Parts: sequence; C-alpha cells; structure tokens
Amino acid sequence: MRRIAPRAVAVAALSVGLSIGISGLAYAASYHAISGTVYSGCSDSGPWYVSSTARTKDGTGPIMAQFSEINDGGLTFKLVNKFNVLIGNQQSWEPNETDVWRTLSSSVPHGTVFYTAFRSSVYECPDDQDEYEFRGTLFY
Amino acid sequence: MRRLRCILVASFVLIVVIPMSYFAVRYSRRPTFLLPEQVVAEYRAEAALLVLAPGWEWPVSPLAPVPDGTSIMYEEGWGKNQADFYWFCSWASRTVDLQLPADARQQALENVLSLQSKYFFTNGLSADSKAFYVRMLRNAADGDMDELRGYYELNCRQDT
Repeated sequence: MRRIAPRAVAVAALSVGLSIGISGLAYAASYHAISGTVYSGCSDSGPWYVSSTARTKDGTGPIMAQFSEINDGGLTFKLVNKFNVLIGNQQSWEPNETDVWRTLSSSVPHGTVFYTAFRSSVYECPDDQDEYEFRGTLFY
Repeated sequence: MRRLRCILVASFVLIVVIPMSYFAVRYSRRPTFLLPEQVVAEYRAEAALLVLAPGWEWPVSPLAPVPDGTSIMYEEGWGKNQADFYWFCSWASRTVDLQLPADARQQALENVLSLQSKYFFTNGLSADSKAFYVRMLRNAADGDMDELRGYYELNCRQDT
C-alpha cells in the first residue's frame, strides 16, 4: 500500500477547510446599496410605497439599514414579506440622521423573501419638499 | 451673419436643450407608483401567461389586507412578481412532495427549473439574490431538494 506523505495530508485538509469556508461564505449576509423615492402624490393611496425588488436573506441573522442621504420629510422604513406582513419592526430616520445603523429585524431565516417598503415620515398633500430620494445600505 | 447664427444656436442650447435634458434625466429616474387596482391588473395579465400546478387556483387578488389600515402604492412589477411567485410555489410544492409519483415530481421539477425565464427572476429579483436561486435550482436538478423544501416551507406556506 502506498504511503501518503504528511504534506499531502496537510494540503488535502487545507483544501477541504477552504471549500467549507467558501461554501460557508455563500450563506453569509452582506452589504447592499439601496436607493428609493418616497411617494409624494395626492391620490387616495399612499403614503406607503412597496418596492418591487424581491430580495432573499442570505444566512440567518439580522437585517439592518443606514442611509447616507435622506429625503426632506424623514424616512420611515420597513420590511414586508410577499403577503405584505411586517418582518421585524419599522424604523424611522430624521433627515439629519445619516449613517445611523438601525436594526429592522434581529433574526430573519436564511432564504426568506422580502421587500422593502417606505414612506416620508412627514406626509402632507400637497407638500412642497425639495428632496424625495434617499440612498443607503441594507445589510441582509 | 455667422456670429448671429452662433448666438442663436448657443441661446437655443442654453434655453431649451440643457433644461430639457436636466428634467428628462431627473424625471426618468422617478419610479412608477401603481395604485392597488393597477397592481391587480398587472398580476392578472402575468397570471394569464402561466399554468399552475394541478389543484392550485389563482387568488382573485394578490393584495393582502394592510394591518394598520393605511393604503399603499406599489412599484411597477410588484403584481407580476406576485403571479410568478405563486406559480413557482405551486410547482415547488409538488416537486418536494414525496407522496407523488416520480413522473409527477419530474414534471413539477421541470416547471420549477424554468423560473429563470420568468419576470420574477429576470427583472423582479435583486441582482445579489440571483445566486441563491441558481444554487437552489441546480441542487434540485441534481436531486438535492433540501433547500427547495426549506424555501417552500418558509415562503409559500400561507398560499396552501
């Protein structure tokens, strides 16, 4: 029987470890740029606005958000599932609360499909705000 | 004469072309806000293109009651996503159902694998989430249904 060199065993073990590590990374949450525009119209509907971008949670854990630009009326932000049921808690950011991280849900199972929904914290009809757009980062 | 023409062209650019370009760019980036009834129409149009798994029927509306009573606007495409998602759930339920004969599960799997040609995958899904579906569908094609079963339990169960 052929003897296996210790170095070969070490290389094989390292390869297996790397493979596990890489496949583990595939399930790890990460940071994603987001942007949007709060509803500012005057119909009977609103002010909540649901994005049509479906997202899928990678790895079980929290979903958090922060914003580098916030619309003039302040931003109220939440996550909903495909049945429009709230996931976690909605959170609000004042216009000057840029780069403030808030947790939208502390534990969301891996593979959960969700949408973002948002509104201007101050919603009037008609209003005269200048900026309705926001930008930020979502961790999921 | 040439100078006059230059002044006219420059004036036209300053007064007409630049403001038009500015507003065209600004407003082309604005999302489309759909009313609930428009979302339902979008959902039904997409549903008309799809065949559900045996035993499944289309809900009349994809809109769930809003818990706090406030009304909602939707981004264009939300209704299509809902139709595709419901369709996917219908076939996923049969793909992972071990009580069904193998040929029925195989037919269901073929439908499940065609998700990648549907609006939900091509337009409705965030780019970063596509890898999740590619992996789940590849595993399902290889006979490993664990992730698809988990996905179905997690995201589709309220439809059943």
